[in-house]
Amino acid sequence: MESLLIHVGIGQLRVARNPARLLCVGLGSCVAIALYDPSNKIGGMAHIMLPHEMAGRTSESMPAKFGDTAPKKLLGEMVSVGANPYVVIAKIVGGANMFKNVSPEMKDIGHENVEAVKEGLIRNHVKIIAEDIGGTIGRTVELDTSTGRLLIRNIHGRSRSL
Amino acid sequence: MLLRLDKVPEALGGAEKAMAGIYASFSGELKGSVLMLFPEESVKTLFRLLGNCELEKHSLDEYQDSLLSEVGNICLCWYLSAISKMIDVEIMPCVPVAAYDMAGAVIDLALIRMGMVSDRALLVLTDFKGEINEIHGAFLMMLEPESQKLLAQRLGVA
Repeated sequence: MESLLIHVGIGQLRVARNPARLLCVGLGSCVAIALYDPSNKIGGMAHIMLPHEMAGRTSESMPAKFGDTAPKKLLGEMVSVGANPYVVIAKIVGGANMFKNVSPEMKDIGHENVEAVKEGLIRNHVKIIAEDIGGTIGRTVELDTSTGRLLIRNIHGRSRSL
Repeated sequence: MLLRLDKVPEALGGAEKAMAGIYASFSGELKGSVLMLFPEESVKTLFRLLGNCELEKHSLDEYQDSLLSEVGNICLCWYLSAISKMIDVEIMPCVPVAAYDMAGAVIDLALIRMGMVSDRALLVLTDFKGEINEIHGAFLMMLEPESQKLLAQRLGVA
């Protein structure tokens, strides 16, 4: 049976329990944070676009806009539906640089996003067990809450799983 | 149309659709950046008409990258110049850069740039029609908050 597929738009976060799959489509410099509680088979995914939340830059409509604050929110959502925060593991994907020769301030945004997410996860004591980051190619990523496997595909039809 | 940033990929036909993007920032009295988008079929038509070349395996060679940047340069300059004349402001565009990938991935840099100051972006859909060939495109324009105000004032919608 095909399980429910939940799209996670840019700046958004979603939590789901087995059987369901969480999907982030077309990540460039954005980063997808996939959290998973293997004991309760609860998954969470956030699609962040900027590294750091600053005063006056908080966003009501996009709760997972920032890499430094999204891990705490996502973990909180998972715990509120019954996940055990002590066994939750993380996988992160994205942070590419799509345009060659783009201005220096925009060139490093993918990398900065990845670093901010890593710091945010460490602060919340979540261990990163796998990553597929950087490069110059966009990615689509899908988390299967029945197994915790992360499937990553790109425009060239190549896929890998983490 | 004015859209929330997370709705932009859908408005362009889906985040996983192959698309070319040409991105340029601009300064002057109006500050922001603009992303021109061409779907796969239109990119192929452009390459056939202008470059006598084919798009292979979803990746651009150096010539195609340059060709797209130039097409973008012409369209973007013409577009910005029209706005500049319409509302009488000075706009200075930077050299554009091109990429070809999944729509979501091509767009997200521009959305990130916009996301630094807002949760919304302006999307203008455009079609270029010739007698035989048809090329579809879209402009995604992102303005700094001050420039948004200026544009609205000059257009009389403030």
